[in-house]
Amino acid sequence: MEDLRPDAVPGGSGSAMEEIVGESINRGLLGAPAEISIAAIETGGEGESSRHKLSLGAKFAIGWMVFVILFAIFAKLGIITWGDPNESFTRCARRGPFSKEGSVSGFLAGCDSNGRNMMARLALGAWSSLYVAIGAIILGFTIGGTLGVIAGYFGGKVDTFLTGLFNIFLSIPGVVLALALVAFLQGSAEQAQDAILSPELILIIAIGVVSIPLVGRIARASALSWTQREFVLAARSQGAKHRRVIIKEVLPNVLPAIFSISLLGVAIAIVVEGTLAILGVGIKPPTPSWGNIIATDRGNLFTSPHIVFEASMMIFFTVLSLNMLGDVIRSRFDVREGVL
Amino acid sequence: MIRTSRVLAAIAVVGAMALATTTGVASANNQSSDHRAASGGDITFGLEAESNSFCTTKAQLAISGIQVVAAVYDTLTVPNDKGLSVPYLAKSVTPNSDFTIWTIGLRDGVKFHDGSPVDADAIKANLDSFRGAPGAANAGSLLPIVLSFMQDVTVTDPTTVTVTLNTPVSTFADYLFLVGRMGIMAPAQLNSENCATDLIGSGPFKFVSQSLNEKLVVTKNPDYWQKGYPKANQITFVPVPDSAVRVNQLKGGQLNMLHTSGAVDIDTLKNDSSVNTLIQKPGYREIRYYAMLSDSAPFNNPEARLAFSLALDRNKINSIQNKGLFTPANGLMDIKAPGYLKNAGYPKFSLTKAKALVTKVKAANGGAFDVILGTTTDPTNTAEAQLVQEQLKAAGIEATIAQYDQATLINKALAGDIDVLFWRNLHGGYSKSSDADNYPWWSNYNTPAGKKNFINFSRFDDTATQDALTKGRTESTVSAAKTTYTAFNKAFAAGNYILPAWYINWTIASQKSVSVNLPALPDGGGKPLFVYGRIPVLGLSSK
Repeated sequence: MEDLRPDAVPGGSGSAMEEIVGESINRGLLGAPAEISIAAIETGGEGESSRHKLSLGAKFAIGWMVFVILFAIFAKLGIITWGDPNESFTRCARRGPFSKEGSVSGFLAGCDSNGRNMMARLALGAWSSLYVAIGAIILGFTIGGTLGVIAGYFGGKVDTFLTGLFNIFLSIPGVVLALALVAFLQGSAEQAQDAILSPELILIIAIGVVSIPLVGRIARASALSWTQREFVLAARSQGAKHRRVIIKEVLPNVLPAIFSISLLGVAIAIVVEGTLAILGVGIKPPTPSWGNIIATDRGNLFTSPHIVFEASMMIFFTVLSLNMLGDVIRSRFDVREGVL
Repeated sequence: MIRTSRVLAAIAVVGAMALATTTGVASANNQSSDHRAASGGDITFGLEAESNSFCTTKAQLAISGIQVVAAVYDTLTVPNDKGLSVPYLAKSVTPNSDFTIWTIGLRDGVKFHDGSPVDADAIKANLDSFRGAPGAANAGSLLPIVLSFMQDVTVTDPTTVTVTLNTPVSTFADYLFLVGRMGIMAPAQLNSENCATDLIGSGPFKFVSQSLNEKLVVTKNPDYWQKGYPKANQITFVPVPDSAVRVNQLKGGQLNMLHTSGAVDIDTLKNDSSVNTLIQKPGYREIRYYAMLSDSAPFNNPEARLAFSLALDRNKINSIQNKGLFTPANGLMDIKAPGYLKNAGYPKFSLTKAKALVTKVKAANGGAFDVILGTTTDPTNTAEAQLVQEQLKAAGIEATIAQYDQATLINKALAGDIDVLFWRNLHGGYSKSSDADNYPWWSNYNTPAGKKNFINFSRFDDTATQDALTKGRTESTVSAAKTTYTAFNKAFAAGNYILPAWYINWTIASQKSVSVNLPALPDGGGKPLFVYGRIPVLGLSSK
């Protein structure tokens, strides 16, 4: 079947771009941003390029994420290491840039309370935290996105059922749900002596399940909107099968919204992993994660603040960057808040 | 096979004797014994754990519960700073010539908080429950094993009780304190179904209320038998399991007092000019050690135990974990206790020797030498377990860290689920004998009566150590006790059932507004002993 829509992706060229400009005009006529919208029309290509121009914040976000990902991968693969992250050095224990005793040479970021190199642990911690967070969101993205699109596309009883299911899960506080799932899965794995269900995989499942209704609601709202569009109705009226319409017409338009929210989801998952670590059910030591670095040394906050501070800063800048990147993607693909 | 009911029952008592165990003497930095000291005020005391039962005959009391017991109940004896158990609630405790019959004289006019008399009938009822006499109310199941030498308790007259033992025990007065947990309850509590929660003692403070995991409130007993005490109007005990949080709450004013055994916390507190500290000095301190489960693989192989001991650089762990502030331990007892040795014979760290032994053990064990390290969820214990894990790994031993709350850890230890148990306990005894703090813990796992000694967490049977323990409790002189317990200490080290790590200097810290007055013991009993994290509370007051 022929795709009746000239360009399925809003924000691209052709009629979809005209549609955006048209909306800008309408908003301008009704409110204050008129000058900006008109200027955008007059400048044409310039308006588009300025919209695509990266802000300083976005550049920082991209730079930071590239740094963190390389930091993590290099540490994991042993390309660049700062020594064994589990080796203890008595002379360096609890000492760091902000500790009372000061740093020890050779340990740029200092050491934790066990005298382990913070740089090495932060790098491997980046791997652990990102691995769990991204894994969890892929799970949520896949299951939540699929269910959301089905709910939004079919509507009716299917929508009522799935939306109800999302609402039930959303009514349970995320951390509590994740905690319960980790406790259950860990208990089951111990009983079954299941080597496949590693601690990391358990965390991915637990955090992933928590993210399913969040992603599902976004996907459902977006799919609901796109399902009403002319090109989808046309496809359906010409007898296209549901599966084809969903995959060819709806999904490509829903994906940017889900992807945008998934970046935010990764950020949330990093924080949730840290919270679970503080509650004692995160990634098991001695494998470092940013969360368990904070959890293990939270008692040394006043005597050796660098330990918690450094891990917290890694989380802070990563979460901030992911939020900024989410905004960039949302604006690039015109994923409007109203649709969400 | 271990019966579940027995294990559960054992849990009820083991907590008190386990994580709570006593420690030796400490001198108080700012102690005074002036009965005219400041009085009044409300005190909020931060404890390291919650306790949900105060029925002393069967309760699971760790140090935190024992601190509450010190406020609400009295014990018949208490240790003084010379390491001698002296009469306290009892007027006198006197043995016959061969230590098989003990006469306990009581004070006139002492009453429980409900107004009933502390008389011979009440004491007999308590002692019968403690020893698990047939038909006794609210008896536990572990204490009867500990006190199995008590054959009979009889009332001689309203103020005299006679205890008959089935074997000579020269240290019976120590067992009447037993780490501060032998609190005497009023019959109304002892016979009650609510024995765990309706606390009626004869102590300086009366129980008011308990909100589990929140607070336990006690108020001044105006009719206390020690005139002029207690000083404070009210004490609120608050469980704050995270020691760092406890310290911060003291600094922030949410707490007025706390106890702690963490070296870094103690270092922080003693350098803080806004708080007073009472730090335990060498003498009768408890020790940190790693207990190996010796009745199953891999540690049923003596070479595996030796490999473990050789693999750990305890000095390094102490330096990192405790900033080197705690003294390394190489024996069970502290310097003032009979049997103390600077090094009882524990192996020194040698990675080379450890690796060689590990290879041997693996060859004999199908290529595996994997162990589970069991500890609590406290962050400092997490860090310590990681250090141990890393050092074992360097020697070729794969260790998995398993962390539980205190009660679960005790359950696991009783069930024999943990290969290496991170434990802290007192085995120093007092100046006269080391019996009461060693016999219950280290007598053979398989008893002659066919029962199991569940609190021997290493689960070993050793003729040499058992013989020494049996002999030790009959010794009547300090010099004889020293000889016997020295032999015990050496035999115990030769078995490698545990690996001692360091002595623990328990510390009480308080705000400047709190006056820590430790009054002299009655009838010239001397100064009270600051036993690990338990402090007598009758002399505390607050501005």
